[in-house]
Amino acid sequence: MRTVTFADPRVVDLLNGRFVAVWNNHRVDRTAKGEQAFYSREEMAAYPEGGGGNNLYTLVAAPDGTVLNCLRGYWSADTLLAELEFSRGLTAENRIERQAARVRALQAEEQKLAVDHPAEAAKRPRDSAVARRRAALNLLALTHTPESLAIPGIETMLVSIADRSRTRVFV
Amino acid sequence: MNALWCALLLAVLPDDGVAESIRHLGDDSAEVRQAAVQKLKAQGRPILPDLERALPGERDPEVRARIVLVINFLTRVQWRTDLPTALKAAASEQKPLLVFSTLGPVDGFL
Repeated sequence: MRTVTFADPRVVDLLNGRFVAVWNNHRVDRTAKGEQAFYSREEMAAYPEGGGGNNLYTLVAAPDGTVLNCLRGYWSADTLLAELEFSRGLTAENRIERQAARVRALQAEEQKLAVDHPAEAAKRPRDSAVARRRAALNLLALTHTPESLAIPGIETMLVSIADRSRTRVFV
Repeated sequence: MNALWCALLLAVLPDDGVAESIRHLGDDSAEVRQAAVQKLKAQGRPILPDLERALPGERDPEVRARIVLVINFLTRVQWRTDLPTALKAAASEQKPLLVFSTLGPVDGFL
């Protein structure tokens, strides 16, 4: 996200101009610097959107701190820009209703891909751009559930994210 | 330097192009230098090629550092790291917040 999505000039200009951007480290106990991985354009095109799960959260909140949108995982600049555009129309009052409509729109887009490109859609995501997009749309729809907005305040939400990142789940 | 003084200087500095503003980055007066930085930042991404052209030929390391500062401002997200301060800024500017939460600090990579 840091070296690709947040380095995209369109994202930089939008965030610097229209948002107050905050970087939150939800594992302050990690002090050693990590090795930054670099990916080629081809590698990034093949990288699955939505990957990264509990390590990456992009939250949009109203000026009073009410959480309006919560994305989990890695998202490309194009997807993030679409989500930020969607987020700019959200308010504390309409966010639940509009998130539900967003889920329906994403699911419809995913189903249209399956109908329009049946052979590609049946492939594994790593083998097909269409299949990757379908997977991304499914994951994106999952981030727009009412549960993702169950914690309304940004400060409490960040505490919850930090707690979650320390929890190991064994299955 | 307070914001009012900076704004006044910005208004009186002649609007004669990026080269002149870059020259002001090495001015003896700290106020003029700061005003030139603000003026370059305000011109946005279109001046990036001028700044990048000026950088290698600039001998004064302080001017080079200020050019880099402006380039970074124009090409990188201006992340805040203190949420309470960011919330105050968001309320005052009536802008939404974008919070990116991950493992490690913003400069946490080699």
